[in-house]
Amino acid sequence: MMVPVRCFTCGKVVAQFWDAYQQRLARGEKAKDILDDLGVDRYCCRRMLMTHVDLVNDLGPYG
Amino acid sequence: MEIQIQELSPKKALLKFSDTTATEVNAIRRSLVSNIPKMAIDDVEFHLGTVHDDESGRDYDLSTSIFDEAIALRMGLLPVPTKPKSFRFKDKCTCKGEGCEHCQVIYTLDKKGPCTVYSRDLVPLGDPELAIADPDVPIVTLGARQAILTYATAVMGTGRQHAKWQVVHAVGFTAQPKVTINKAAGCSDACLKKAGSICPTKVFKAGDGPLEVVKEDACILCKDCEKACSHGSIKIDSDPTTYLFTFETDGSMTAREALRLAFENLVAEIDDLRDAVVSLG
Repeated sequence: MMVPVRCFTCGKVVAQFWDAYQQRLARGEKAKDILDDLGVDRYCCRRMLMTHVDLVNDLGPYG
Repeated sequence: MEIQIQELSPKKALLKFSDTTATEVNAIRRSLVSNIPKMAIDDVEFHLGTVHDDESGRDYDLSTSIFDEAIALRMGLLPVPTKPKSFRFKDKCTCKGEGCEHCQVIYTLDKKGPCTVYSRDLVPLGDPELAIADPDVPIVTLGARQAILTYATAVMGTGRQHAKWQVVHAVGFTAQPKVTINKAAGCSDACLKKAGSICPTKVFKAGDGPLEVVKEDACILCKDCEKACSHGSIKIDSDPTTYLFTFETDGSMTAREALRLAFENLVAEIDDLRDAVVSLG
């Protein structure tokens, strides 16, 4: 589905970084460098972005 | 109690409380987490059916691939900018809960696919400063011929009711670490340097001279350095009267405002308690 709006553990708004994170990953940057740069410091917030699988576009046709 | 501000940015604060106890600091933490009032979207009205776009001549289905309640939940979690004292709780407002400009903010969302709907697409009725604090949060992805038309109402609440009304996150405190190096008999500079290099937060600095403590506050009390020197030259302790306190806000208000409101609330609660005790006779 869509990336969760907030971190499940601490509550930081993390979804705002999703597009930038994906674009920079596609450019070949390392996940660690991107997350450090975006200010996602805690490992609870980092896993929200690192482990998310965006399936919303696969579901689109069935809406 | 003395408070020293060590770091204060709009969304983050690091404070040092000295001459206090863990109980007092914890009361401030609890007040920050659950008692600061802020606005959050609480009621979302979805329009159903089809809409016709005159420009393209197309009909759009007002449905998406995500359930309406899931979209409403995502909207609820968005940080709505809240100026302290500019809004009232709906049940305590002069409008008697009907909803007015002093107790609610209405956002409209009108998008046609294919596109991704972001938090910046939520348009506040009235003051444009009330636009969502983080503009780039994706809310839902619309396919071709899909559209969304909603009215979302934000109202005041506190973290005690629901986490969406919680202003601060990652709030915590730790007792002030005390790191002392006292070279014991049989210990060498090489032994100390080896022990210092183990530190995960780099509290020590080992240059050409003897081992020094450079970032005492960064110590996480893991005591790995203490164990690494078998002679007992390094001692890690904590000061139970001084606390390092850190918290972040979600962007709905600044860290300074959140802290001020937390203190005000704590004082009001203590006053209430005193009055209640006095009324017992």
